[in-house]
Amino acid sequence: MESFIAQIIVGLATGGIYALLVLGMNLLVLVRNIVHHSYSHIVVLTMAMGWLTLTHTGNNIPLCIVVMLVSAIVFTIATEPLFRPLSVRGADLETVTLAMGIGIIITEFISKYINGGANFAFPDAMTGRQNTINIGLISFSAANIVTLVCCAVVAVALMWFLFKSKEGRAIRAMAQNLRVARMLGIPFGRTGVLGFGIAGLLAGIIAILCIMTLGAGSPALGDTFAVKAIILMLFAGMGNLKGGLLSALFMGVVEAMALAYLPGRWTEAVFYGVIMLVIIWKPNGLFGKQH
Amino acid sequence: MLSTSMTLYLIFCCAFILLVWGALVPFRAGLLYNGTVYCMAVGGYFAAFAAKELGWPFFLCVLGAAVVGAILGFLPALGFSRTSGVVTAVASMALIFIIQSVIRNLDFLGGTRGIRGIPKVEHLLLYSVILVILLGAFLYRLNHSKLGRALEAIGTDADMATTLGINVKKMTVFSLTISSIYGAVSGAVYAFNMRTIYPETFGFSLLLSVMTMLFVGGRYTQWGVFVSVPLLWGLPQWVPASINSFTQIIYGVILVVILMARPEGIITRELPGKIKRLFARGGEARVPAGRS
Amino acid sequence: MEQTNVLNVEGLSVCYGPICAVRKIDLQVRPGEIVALIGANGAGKSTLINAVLGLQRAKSGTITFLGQDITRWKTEKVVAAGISVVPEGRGMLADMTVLENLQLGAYHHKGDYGPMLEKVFSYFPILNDRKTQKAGTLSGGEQQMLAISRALMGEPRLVLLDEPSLALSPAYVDKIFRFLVEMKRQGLTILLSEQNARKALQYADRGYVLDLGVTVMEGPARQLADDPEVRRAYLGGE
Repeated sequence: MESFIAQIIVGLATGGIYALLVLGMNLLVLVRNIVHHSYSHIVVLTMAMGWLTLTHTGNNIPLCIVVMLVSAIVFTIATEPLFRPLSVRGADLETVTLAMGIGIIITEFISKYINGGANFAFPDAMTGRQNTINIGLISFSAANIVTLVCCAVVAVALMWFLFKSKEGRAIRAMAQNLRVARMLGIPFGRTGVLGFGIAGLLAGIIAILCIMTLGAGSPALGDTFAVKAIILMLFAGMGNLKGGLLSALFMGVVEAMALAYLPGRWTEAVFYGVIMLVIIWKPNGLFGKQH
Repeated sequence: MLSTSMTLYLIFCCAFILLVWGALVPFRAGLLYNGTVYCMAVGGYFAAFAAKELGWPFFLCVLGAAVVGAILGFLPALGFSRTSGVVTAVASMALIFIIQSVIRNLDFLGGTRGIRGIPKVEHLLLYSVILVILLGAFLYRLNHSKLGRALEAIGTDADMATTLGINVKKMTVFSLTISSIYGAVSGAVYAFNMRTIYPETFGFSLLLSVMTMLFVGGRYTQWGVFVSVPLLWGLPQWVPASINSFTQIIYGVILVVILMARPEGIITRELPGKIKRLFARGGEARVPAGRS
Repeated sequence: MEQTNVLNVEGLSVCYGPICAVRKIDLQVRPGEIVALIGANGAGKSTLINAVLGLQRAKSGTITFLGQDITRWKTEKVVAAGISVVPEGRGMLADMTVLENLQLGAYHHKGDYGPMLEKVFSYFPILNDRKTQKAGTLSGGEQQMLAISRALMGEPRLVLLDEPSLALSPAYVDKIFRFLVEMKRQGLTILLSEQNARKALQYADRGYVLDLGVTVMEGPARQLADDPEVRRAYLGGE
């Protein structure tokens, strides 16, 4: 029972990270109607930037955090002009392919230049994994709790931005009807860049939280995250923010349970099989499409 | 006589031409179908197993691969007839993970070690070229038939196609099944040429190569592959060894640049017609300026 | 005299490829008047409005707003400068609330839009009652009120209305036009395109009759309404 509860907490922390990934990608669906498959790769690239900073400055953690946030924002905004010609035409197949191309470039870059392609581990001071919390017989890493709290705060802040602020309203208006939004004088270029910038800040935060919960990054992590995030997005319904959050938390817990209690061999095949069936069964997602 | 490496290269080109054609068929109907790579794995493993363990001859292996590919492509296609756009692209990506995971778990297919020592086939290049000509002619007939025009109509506007009396679901299943056959045959050729296959072969990087070849060659005609496949497959061999390890990055960059600058690819819909007209004007002006 | 015009269009041509939807049109809108563009479907009315907004690039000619050349401006700059639009078909953001639609209308409003919101609610109290409802749940007439209110939220100098009477019941059409006349009295300048020529000429000060992208007639609304040609072509006989 104690380990079960601990597993749930681990699962929720992982789910929280998935939730932020999906939230970031859904934000980009709103601003540019694109599926930014390489958003997860940017997160991993940001982790790599953090690792580089740490190894070159003798573990200067505050600097590392600043570098990560800034580089995540810069990387994400840098992809905006790449998508712009396609997103104006609403060519979704091309945008997915374009994003895949970007993802491969990033993955290959990391496997060439970061720690010689091996996993890059972060020092304990950064991950905070050595701090454990004990409640009765339940024992879990403090990092998981911090991650979970951060995810909740960030998700609430992003929701507030989208639903209560002027620019958030503008972003939702663009998602709903680009032509009308332009007639109301909402600047297509600037609002898009702002959306990418916020998604970038989010990517930086996700990268930091990934370091705390995973303790290490690897070149392949981008693909793993990307596939999970895009599947969760479709699972919940594209652009459906709340559905995405719920599905992500659920998936995190299911995954933690499966890792802990199921025999490994066939899990992956069954997992993807079930996901595929659900997506085919409900092409608009379990919670429906939303803009 | 061709050198061994040249023969290998040309056979790989044949395999990838078939594979990209497989991806091209559903693309005409507006579907980015990643299941072609899944069927390549199916066909490759079937052919490898049949040749090594059962001692089947080449063409029987290819035929068997095509049949198995068609069946295993038809089943998921039934499901994909309900979806479109990004959903199909992503859900069919899951097929790749599933087949890799299944193969890894099946010991008679060698698990993660793969199948080694697939029997050598004499005149494989000739056979591959024959397959390319046969399947190329079939694709040409298909594209210029009523079915091909129906697929084109779906790709242009699925709702409009429905109003024209085209059964979009049936046509989707049809195009995905055809795509699966091409994928499976390509897998068989690949396996015989490589003579070793692993589950890892049929992963993301293969998918990227196919997409790059598809988008670079031009997605609207079947002729683009004759430019893009030799060019892109040859890339690692022709560039200096020092940048050889950057192949994947180069593929990625090419894909990004092509999508931004020339979304129809190098060989556009109009180009074959233009070339025909050019020749028609140069030679005897008898050949009518045909539509491509 | 030119600088006193709110809107001045000179020799404007707008083309889609080889086909020009608007050819060498001249048009003036003076402060505090309602100008109607009338003509059949495809006469170029909407294209003209989109060109003023910067949604459609002019091939040649100039568009001047309050003395500034806005021909090449981006839409957001045009709107910020004080031109707002009531789109054809009302352009509701259907999944957003009535209040959010109004707030978006004030996107370029510098400072507090609260007083303007009060004012709009006083014109159309029903919008106040329904401000938390999704805009898509309103009736057609209510949506048109919302679209007009939204256009007023940025306190514009010039409002463009694209087919305001489209798909509205006759009672609502009169209500909307009377409201526009009231707004005019308060100093607003209005340019509207309308297929319902009779209503448009009844309430407008001046009119332009467009046909296949060129101006075939222009003048005071009363005069156009009495013109036998116009009566025959656009007002249904007599």
